[in-house]
Amino acid sequence: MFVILLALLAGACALSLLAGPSWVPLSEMPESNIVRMRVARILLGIIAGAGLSVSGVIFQALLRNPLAEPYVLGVSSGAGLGAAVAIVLGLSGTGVWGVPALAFIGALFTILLVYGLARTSSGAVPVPTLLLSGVIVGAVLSSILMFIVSTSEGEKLHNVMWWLLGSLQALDWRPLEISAPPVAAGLLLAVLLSRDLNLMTLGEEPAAHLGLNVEQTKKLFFLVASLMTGATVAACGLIGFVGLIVPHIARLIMGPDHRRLVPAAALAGATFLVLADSFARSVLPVEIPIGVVTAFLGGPFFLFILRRRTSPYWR
Amino acid sequence: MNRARYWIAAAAVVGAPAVLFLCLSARAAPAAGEPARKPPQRIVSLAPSVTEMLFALGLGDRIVGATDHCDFPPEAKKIPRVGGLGRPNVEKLLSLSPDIVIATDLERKDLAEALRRAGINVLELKIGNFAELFEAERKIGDAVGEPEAAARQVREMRAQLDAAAKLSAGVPRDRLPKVFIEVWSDPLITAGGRSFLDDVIARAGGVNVAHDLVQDYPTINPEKVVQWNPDVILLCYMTEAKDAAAQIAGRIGWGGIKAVREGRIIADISPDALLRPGPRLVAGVLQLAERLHPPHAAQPAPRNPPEK
Repeated sequence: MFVILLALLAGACALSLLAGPSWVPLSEMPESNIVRMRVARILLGIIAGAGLSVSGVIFQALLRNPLAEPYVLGVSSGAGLGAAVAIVLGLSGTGVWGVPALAFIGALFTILLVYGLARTSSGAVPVPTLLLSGVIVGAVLSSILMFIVSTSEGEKLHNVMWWLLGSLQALDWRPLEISAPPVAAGLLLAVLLSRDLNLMTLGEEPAAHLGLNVEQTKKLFFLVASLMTGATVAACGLIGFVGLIVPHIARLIMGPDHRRLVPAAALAGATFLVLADSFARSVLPVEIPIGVVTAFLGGPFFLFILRRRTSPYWR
Repeated sequence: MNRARYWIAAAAVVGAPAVLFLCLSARAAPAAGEPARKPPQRIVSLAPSVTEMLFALGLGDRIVGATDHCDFPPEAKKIPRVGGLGRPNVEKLLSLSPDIVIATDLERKDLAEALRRAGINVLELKIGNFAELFEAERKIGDAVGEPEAAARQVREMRAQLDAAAKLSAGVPRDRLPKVFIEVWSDPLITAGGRSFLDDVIARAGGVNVAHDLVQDYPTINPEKVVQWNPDVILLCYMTEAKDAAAQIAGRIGWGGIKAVREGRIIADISPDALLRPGPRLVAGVLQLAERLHPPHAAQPAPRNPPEK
């Protein structure tokens, strides 16, 4: 199965190398500047796709909730708000680290806030409270974000809107530099600790009985997943839907065992984003925001898979 | 289910709004009296370019309200603010009791109608190229009772454009420099064939590489720029673009673009002189023309054969 997923990813990359407004003959490929640009986008797609999908897997396992993903927990809103603030303050444009840095801080701040709000006096963090506070904090942050959008004008507005819909456009290597290390580290950790994720899906009490330090594990994974989300959001804006549907698709193909699920979701997410980006940058003379493509193509595909199942899928 | 009741409900749903609409439109019959014949004394400008035109006509002291962006000439900063470009705070606007409101890009098209119903004269202008700019100047002149001053302004602007055109006179069209306009870098946005910038480039003796794109400000794939291989890159950020020129050379795959190889990246022309469709725009064109066609390089630089 992994061979098939790897082959799909390779196929998507090959297709993506060819897709674009201009045709580059195979013989000129090695030294073509255009192909170098495409390679950068493909790499960014792989990193972002893997990062978003795996953080989705982590959130869904920790919260034992099929709707859990960075959006639900407010992490994306926090990152988005950070970026919007940076754009409005004029920190965007070229050669400045302002937007990614603030997006990162926003994501981290949000998960700490949500986690802190949900924590009871005894130190436990009940899942329903966590989800609720995530949704509410996300809504408040979104309202601030919309306030900023409504008061900004012209180019800045366009800039913020574009950013909210996401893009793999990489003019230099900076987006790759900021997103690759956190995503790679998070991926490695999720693979190494995938058995803990399996335990967590049993429920907190059984997991504790089986010798898992539940609160410790939750904290660690929240931090890791938020870092991965913050890193991809910082590099490519808010690309919706990937963190939600790719884990489900991977689970439908691979089953619920996280030892297989985590790498499968990473591969599937990477393939999905690489394909979506090829589409986004080559169908029209202008670029389409990739968030539009992921939702438009991903939604129906997911429903198709879901309807084909005869047995109830989530427990 | 009672069929008659169903039809009554349906009639009510359709009928009530129709009756309301008729009442409202009857009430809204133009109550505004014959516009005063004497030139308006209280003007509200809803665009920085309009503010500049009014000041150029010597009417700065008649402006009672302006947008947050009206910052030129410096006196304009003292005028009470009514909101953003094309999106005024209506209460604030009405409280200034203007005789006339002059706007370019109203965000809500029904606003003009509403203001007219309130008895305020509204002049809506569309300024998308130089022809429309001159037209707008004349319309403003007529509306504020200064047609001669406006005509003089237009003549002066035309003279500057002619001066700019002289710099590239005699250069065959296929040897005019190809210009890529970078309006924004994240995402990469340029100016298409219907934007004012397209006309600015043309008047300065250049060819906009994105001329065939129909949107005003399309978001484009950076690959396109490599494909276009422009001779000159013009940075038109609304904010200052100091380090951008150096940063462009470091972009993935941009090293082979002719403008980058030859260092022809123009980043130091004030964005207001290129983007604000007002009286200063002709100065921007002249400045750009001088950069595209340096006077000392009398003979056109020999063209390298296109590189792979």
